[in-house]
Amino acid sequence: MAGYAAASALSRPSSAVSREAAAVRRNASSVVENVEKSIALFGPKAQALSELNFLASECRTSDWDGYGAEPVDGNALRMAREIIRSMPDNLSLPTFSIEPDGCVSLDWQPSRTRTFTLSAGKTDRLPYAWIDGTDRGHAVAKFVNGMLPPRILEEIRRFCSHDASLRAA
Amino acid sequence: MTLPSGLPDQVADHEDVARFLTSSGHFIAAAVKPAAFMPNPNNGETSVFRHGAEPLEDLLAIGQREIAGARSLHGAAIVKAKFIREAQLEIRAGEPPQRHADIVGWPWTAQDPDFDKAERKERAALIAQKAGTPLLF
Repeated sequence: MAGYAAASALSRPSSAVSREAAAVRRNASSVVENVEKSIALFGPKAQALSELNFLASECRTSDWDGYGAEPVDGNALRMAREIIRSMPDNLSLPTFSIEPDGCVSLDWQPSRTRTFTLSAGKTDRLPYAWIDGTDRGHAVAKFVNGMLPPRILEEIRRFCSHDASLRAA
Repeated sequence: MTLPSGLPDQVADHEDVARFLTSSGHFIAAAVKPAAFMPNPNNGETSVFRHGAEPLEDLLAIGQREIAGARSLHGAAIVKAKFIREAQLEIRAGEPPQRHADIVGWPWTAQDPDFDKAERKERAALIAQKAGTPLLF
């Protein structure tokens, strides 16, 4: 949404009076309008996918992080998009990060002491880890038939709810 | 033993180390993401820089010179070495460049690469949580 934010700023009325400034403002307004239409039609998932696309473009070449990272993997991106599209509408959507091996990390961080992080990679196996106060762990889930396993969805739901501290060990 | 930077060759528990943030996806305003501390798959290490009492401008200069180059340098995740050791990892000085160190000892076996990665994510998440709010430049 960085592009949206920039376009939104440019689309605001300003004191600039040149023809070029007016053209820039008109074009920016059009971008803003299209993004907002997309959000209105497809909801927060469209916004999340737009954020993922922005990150992917930032990480498309080798060494995008300055530490020698691999470029974002095409299969990982497809998998991450599928996961987002498959998520129930009433579930909190993650933020994204690209990992040094080119995988896409889907991250839920509802508070400073809670993290649930799941990697979309080259296969349908999804490494994930969580920290919930003093409770923490890691495991691997499988993305089968275009769906996250129900226990993962339930875990994310519980993680993002206020009673996450009551979760069973 | 003293390194060319003047720092001791052992990274003490109380020392701060900085991981420079060059991807906008590696942090949010209030937190650092686990991916920021995940190791490079080619050498299995996470590169960091030791940060002492010197001014933040010095840290920024190291980040620009050694890591960012033409990339955006958004900030740094700063964490005490003791929290890296609490995550069952080790931190090893590695100069040059000056002040450089590596987080080593990440789980990496051939048996189940995905399970190993899950464990690395857990350890990276622990370190990221201890780093707290990112220092944004």
